[in-house]
Amino acid sequence: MRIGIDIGGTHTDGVVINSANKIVKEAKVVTTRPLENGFRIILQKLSPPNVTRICVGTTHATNALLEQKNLAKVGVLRLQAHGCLIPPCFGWPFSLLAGHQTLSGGYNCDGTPLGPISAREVVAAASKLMEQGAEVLAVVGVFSPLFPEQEKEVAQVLQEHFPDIPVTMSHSMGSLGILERENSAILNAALVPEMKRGFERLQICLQELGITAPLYITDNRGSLMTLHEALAYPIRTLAAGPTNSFIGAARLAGLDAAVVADVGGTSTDVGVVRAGYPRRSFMKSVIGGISLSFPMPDTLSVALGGGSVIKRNGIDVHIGPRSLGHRLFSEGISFGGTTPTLCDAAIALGLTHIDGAKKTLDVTLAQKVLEKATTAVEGLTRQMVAKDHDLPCLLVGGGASLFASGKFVIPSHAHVANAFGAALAEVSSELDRVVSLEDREETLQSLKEEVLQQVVDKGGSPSHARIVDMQIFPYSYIKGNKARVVLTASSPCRPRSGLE
Amino acid sequence: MNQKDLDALAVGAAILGSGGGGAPSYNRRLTEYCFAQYGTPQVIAPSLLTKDDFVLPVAFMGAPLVALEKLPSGKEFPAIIQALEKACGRKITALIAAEIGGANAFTPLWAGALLGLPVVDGDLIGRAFPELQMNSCHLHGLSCSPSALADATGDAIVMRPKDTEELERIARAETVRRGSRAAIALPPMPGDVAKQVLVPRTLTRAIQLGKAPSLEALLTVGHGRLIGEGIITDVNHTITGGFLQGSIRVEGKETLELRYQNEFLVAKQNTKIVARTPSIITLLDQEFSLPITTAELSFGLAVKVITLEAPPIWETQRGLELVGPQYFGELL
Repeated sequence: MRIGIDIGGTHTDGVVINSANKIVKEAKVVTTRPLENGFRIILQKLSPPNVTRICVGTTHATNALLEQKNLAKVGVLRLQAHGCLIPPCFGWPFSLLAGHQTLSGGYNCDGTPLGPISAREVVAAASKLMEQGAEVLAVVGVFSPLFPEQEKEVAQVLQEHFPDIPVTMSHSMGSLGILERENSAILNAALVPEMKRGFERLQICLQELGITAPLYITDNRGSLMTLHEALAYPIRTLAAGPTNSFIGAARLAGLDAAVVADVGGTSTDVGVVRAGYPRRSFMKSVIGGISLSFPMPDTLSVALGGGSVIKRNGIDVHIGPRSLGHRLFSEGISFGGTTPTLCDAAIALGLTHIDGAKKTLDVTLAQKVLEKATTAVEGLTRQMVAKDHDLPCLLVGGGASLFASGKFVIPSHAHVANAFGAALAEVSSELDRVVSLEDREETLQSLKEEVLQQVVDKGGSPSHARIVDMQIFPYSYIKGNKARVVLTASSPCRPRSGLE
Repeated sequence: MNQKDLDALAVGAAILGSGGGGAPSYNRRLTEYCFAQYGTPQVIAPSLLTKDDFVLPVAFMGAPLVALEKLPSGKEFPAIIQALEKACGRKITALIAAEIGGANAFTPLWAGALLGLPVVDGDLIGRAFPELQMNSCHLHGLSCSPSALADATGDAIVMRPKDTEELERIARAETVRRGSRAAIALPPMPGDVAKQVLVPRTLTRAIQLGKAPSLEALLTVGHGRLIGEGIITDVNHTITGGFLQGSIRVEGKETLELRYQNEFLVAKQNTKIVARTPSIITLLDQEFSLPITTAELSFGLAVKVITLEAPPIWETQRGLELVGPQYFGELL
């Protein structure tokens, strides 16, 4: 049996699935702060025997970013011997920067260094940054995805002299494009301390409940990360929630392709599933106004959820963007409070039944509100599919039952779609190697076979193992037709693979 | 020029780039930064130039991949200006884009902000082309001496080539020697000469193209047409002599073959040529109709292929000698 848990902003959901991937038990609670309370309650409610693993999708990172709380202050060490006009975080909607230092280092495109690394310079720069308030460090070197050696050398020096300061190296943050890579490295570094605290608390919950099954964290590709990986790359958990919803929704409906709208307490996220997995953006992804260096699931979001506050402006009604979130169940007018929400409107129309709720909102107003909300969500789904008009539209999430319109399909178990998606998360393995591309097809084929085997060895099903990402960084200006190849393979976990 | 204009310029300049010119993203960021730090430069209509003006054509050259990693330090153009003012015995009063196609549309804007110099609304090509001599100064027989080149360390050299072939050779060798990325300036021109020679109002044109609300509007403004759409089913390219050279196949209702040397040069259907240089040939992505450069081509991309009319100076006898299909003969 596997457990999938999604810790969301308003609700924490959990499912137990068997080896046939069928939901045998489910639970949903309101998320409170701190976020691990919901996790604990869900585990207590589910408490199945024979748990082989627990897969968690969590909104910790997204929350920290959107609320701009608990993000660490970052010191940036730039390995750019010749300098750079633009400082880090230029154009960011908020600043995470404690400061930055430009050091000798970086590479030319042919691998010759722009300057040597000086350990003394590194230590002096890091000390300065810490004086300026840096709690974590990011190291960004010119051409590091092709030549990561200097960044590794700097990280080693930092580890020796400042062992308690987490360091993110930019070369593992994606492709060429130094500003996006720097953005990703800074954001990743800023998330590390909060994620560490969050995961430690989840582990304590497991210990207290006597659960010994391993804990995995889901990433934004629908793959599982070990705690160790998640602590090094918390940025990969951004958008894991919507990813799990989209995958879970499609599987619940038995579809390979669909538009999915996940209605939560505060917002609705819309994505497109093709061949079972969320469509990823062709363009560089932007999160919270910041350009990042790796693709994310293509998502359109609107601040429209169950707890969204209704405001009247003459004959006009406005829904949100303010939301009561999880407080809707105490402050909403159907629950004795004074603030009307979208959920209250649905209750008034009999679309939703919640224990202890009283129909108090005016029915005409409620109808107007639901109409407006439905139109908004339909508009988003149209935007997402553009020409694919006839893709079925699925509604999932805690707020799915608010929309009774026939245009949407609400699959069974829709309100726990994201926990289901988390439980379905796959094993993945990455191969990162510099090779010669003289015999390009042959070499790539052999690398593919190697990584596919790796993922099977890790517990993936051989028949469904496939390559999900291939990045080739050619060393264009050096003789020998060499390139760094990064291949990622994924596969659903084999039944009874004893994945440990 | 506000945010919206810069957004539009990024798109419009890339469209005029005919598949080349480098992705404008970082140059656009540089421009925003320099405008914020130093103020927005004045933009001058070409008709207002007088003989008291001394106009410097500026650009960056080198491998587009390096532009993604090594940003300018800011020392490049001050060093070039100092070197050329000394060589010419005269102060430079304005900048102009050597090339409006692609990232270089932004170069005079951020350099102008940094240096406190105005920018002329125009350029020397009207699009992008792969080789240095493919510009209107050379078309009009102007000398290419003295030109200058500088790198991020602020080291500048003055070049006095006897012809454009020599300029191309020296400049490219120096660029490669300095890490495959360098700032370059062609000889500064008195305003009255510049007026005759430059391709006018191309900055405005690029912004206009970028603001087109639909593909139809774009094709109307650009005097162009859609010549195909489909999926890229084959990408075959190499880096030769510093250029990204190759061909792609776009399969849709019909099959198009496109050949390029940094910029797209010809589009063929079976053996029939459907579009050729100097007409601008551009790939747009199917979803958002945004331009795709030859450096971003990949198997499986859904694209639309459009062509826009060439800047008129190139559709002349002399123009075609310099940039027409026969010049690129060995590739066709």
